[in-house]
Amino acid sequence: MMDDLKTTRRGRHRAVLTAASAASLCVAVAACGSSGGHKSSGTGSGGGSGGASLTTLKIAYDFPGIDFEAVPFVVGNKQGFYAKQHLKVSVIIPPDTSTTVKMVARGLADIGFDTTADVAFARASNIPITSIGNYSMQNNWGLITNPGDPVNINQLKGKSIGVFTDSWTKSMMPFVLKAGHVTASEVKEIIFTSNDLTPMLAHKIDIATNTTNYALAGIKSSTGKNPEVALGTKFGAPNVPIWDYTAMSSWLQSHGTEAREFLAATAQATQWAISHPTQAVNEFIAAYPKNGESAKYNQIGWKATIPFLKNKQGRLLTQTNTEWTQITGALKSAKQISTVYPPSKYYTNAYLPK
Amino acid sequence: MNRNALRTWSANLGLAVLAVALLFGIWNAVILIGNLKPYVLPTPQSAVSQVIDNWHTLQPLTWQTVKETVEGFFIGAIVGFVLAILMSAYKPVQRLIYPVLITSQAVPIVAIAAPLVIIFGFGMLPKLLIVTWIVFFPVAVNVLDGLAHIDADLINLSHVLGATRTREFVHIRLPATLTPLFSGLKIGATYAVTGAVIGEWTASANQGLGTYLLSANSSLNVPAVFGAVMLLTVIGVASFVLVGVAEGLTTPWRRRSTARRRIRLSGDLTSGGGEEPTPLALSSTSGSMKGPQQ
Amino acid sequence: MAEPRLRIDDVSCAFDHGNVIESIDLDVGRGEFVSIVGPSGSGKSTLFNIVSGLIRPTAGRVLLDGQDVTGERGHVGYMLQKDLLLPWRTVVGNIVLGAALRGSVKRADRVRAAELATRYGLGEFLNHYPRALSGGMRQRVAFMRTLALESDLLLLDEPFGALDAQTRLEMQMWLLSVCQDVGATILFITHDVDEAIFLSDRVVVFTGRPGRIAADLPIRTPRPRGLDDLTTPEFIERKREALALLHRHEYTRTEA
Repeated sequence: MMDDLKTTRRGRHRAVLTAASAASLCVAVAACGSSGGHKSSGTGSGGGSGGASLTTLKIAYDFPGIDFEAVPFVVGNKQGFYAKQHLKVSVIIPPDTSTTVKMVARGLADIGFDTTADVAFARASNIPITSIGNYSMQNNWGLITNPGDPVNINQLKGKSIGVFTDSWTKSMMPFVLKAGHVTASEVKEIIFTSNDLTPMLAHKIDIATNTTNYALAGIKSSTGKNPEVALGTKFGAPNVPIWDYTAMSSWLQSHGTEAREFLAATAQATQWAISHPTQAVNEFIAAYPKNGESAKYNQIGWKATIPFLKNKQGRLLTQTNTEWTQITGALKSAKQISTVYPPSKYYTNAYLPK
Repeated sequence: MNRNALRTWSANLGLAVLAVALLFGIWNAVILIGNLKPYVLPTPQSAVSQVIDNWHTLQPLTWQTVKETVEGFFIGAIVGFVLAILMSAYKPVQRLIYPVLITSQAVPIVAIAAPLVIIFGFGMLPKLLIVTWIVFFPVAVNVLDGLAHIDADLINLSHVLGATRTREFVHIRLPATLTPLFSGLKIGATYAVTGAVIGEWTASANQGLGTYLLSANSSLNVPAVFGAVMLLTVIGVASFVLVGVAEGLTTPWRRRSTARRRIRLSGDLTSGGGEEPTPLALSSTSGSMKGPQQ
Repeated sequence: MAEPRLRIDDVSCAFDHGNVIESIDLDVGRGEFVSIVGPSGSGKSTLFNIVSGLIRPTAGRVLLDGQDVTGERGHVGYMLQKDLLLPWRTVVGNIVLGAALRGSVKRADRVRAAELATRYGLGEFLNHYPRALSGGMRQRVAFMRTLALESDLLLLDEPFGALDAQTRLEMQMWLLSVCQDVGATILFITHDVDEAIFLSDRVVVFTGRPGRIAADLPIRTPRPRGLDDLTTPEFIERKREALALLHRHEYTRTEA
């Protein structure tokens, strides 16, 4: 999934972590075995009515390591946006990139920070998880190459392309191949589970696939130059959001107020972080000093994320039917899912702030 | 294959089938009792049906992983064997290398996998290296131990009989390594497929069961994940069994009473005088076979 | 007079803690069967290792037919309590081991081995692996391995020690007939005084550490010998002599 693309921002030591996490996936799956029921994790049921006590909401991150996309949550806590809604948000790190949905489904977390593709898969496996708001609004997945060496879509034949085993890549690649008039067997797809940027910089592969914010953070912070980027949307891939906030339908029914409060505060925190990017990132680094990347990396990354957070009307979080139709359609034609449901099954805007 | 061997084989096969059926039964029971959702623990039936339904896709992937496993296994076996011989023959070599070999195993495979891929690229080579890494150690240790435990009196006897060091090696030491070699090979064979999967997980130009596993996991297709795991298990078990069969064929003296190739005293083998040698008269008990003894 | 087949000439051997054996002088004539009896630790096996050339003595020489072969291997046949049969070789394969270790095994070697085995009662087991043979049979194969080298000087170090009493007696009888047949010169180590007297032309008694020759008893019972010879007055007399020597020296050793 998209989360795998984020692995590029990790240095080599994090690649170890990812691989080790991948190695533990079966253990993680097996360990997830107990009552399938869903438990509330808040300290009190219902909303934060009066009182000085804050309700803790656990949000499961999409990646086994915290990074700059978590800036809004840190800001939300630090600047008091969550507290004003009587909330405290705690970020839970999953063991690998494929467990976020399962953690939310089992009640280990209240909210999930994962990808829109995850929601499509969850519904295909009859997991009643719903997207309650977009994190980003646009598809910033693309082909990344070394500075000064832009991608020529007509010269794809025989090139080595770094891909991940996630389904976002699998559903985007057909658009790229079609635009370049090549078949999958005419290019060399090299499968990575972590970091395909370093091999690209080392000229071991010709092209890396990734999202622009992580690509920029990784390459600019280490070489000082911007990488060449060719967005997937340029080749006809749908411009659909990548990341979103999710929750179980059952949890939403009993914690609707908290969901609303969470989204409202998160929107405010996100806006603040957009307006005060440097300070926001510094707060993030202060909260997570061992995040494994340099300050420069995190600054570049967050600033590269900002352009994708708002829709054309300048709004955060809002979802549309079209985006869900498009992403499920793309997944279906890439044969990643077999059944497509109406968009209303995947998302709701009912908890968005007015 | 004679009747007895056939009967043993069928009995073993029957037991294996029974064991798998029992395992599947317990598996289903766990799901039922724990009320586990399919995305947490799917039923074995759903995993098997995933394999069957997707066999068209899975077949080349399985073949790829098998190739990596088998080739790496043979390289690892040879490396382990040669190292053991060298260490046994030259004590300074042993003192130098053995600690290094042990340390190499203490390094987690996942940690060396990434640098191997960066150095050697995305093809077969890093996977072969990882499988070799896993296989050579049990082979080396077992063969070295086997060589060390050869009876000193036997070595002395060979010298008394007039053997040179080379002949002592070929006739006494080398055959003595076969049994411990197969012990090591059985261990290595079972773990080899894991090495192939770890290699695929790090970076791969070719698709194998390892990459399929990750892919299925990221699509939340947990039955497919377990299906892939089952295939990998089958590869591991099959490797073990094949090594066992090879052991039976190469070391017949462990199971059989007589050799297949026989020497007989017939007309043309009599002594020059044209007479058959007459056995010395002995008491009746000493002439009969008292049964297999160690 | 002709040179003795084997002469052990004033041999001594020292390890870290002093002499294991001291000033051993022993002649063995062609076709003689000489037993060595003595307590544990009296250096009997060390003497064998010296005669077979595996170790060099600290002093003294080993002569075969008058020639100095001290420290040289390959002149004698050697047999231990352990049969040391190679499990991966058949009976015939084990008998020709000497030829294999010296160069190559020719067809003639195998034929001779098969004949040996058949002659000495193992004709039906030519192609059997050692695991299928009893202890007694394995020792016979080991003996034939020794014979196959066509060295007619044999050193046997307690070859029947690991066998049960009944088998041991059978093996002793078998050995007697084979020696008669082959005419070998034999040096035989044993703890068992009965066995020594039954088999030998001479019984040499060793003292405790350091090992020295205490006595050399001739056994004049004529050959071929049989079970009856185990209970004759002569046998009992020799046995009394030997035991007295052994025990006297035992007591001397412990008192000293």
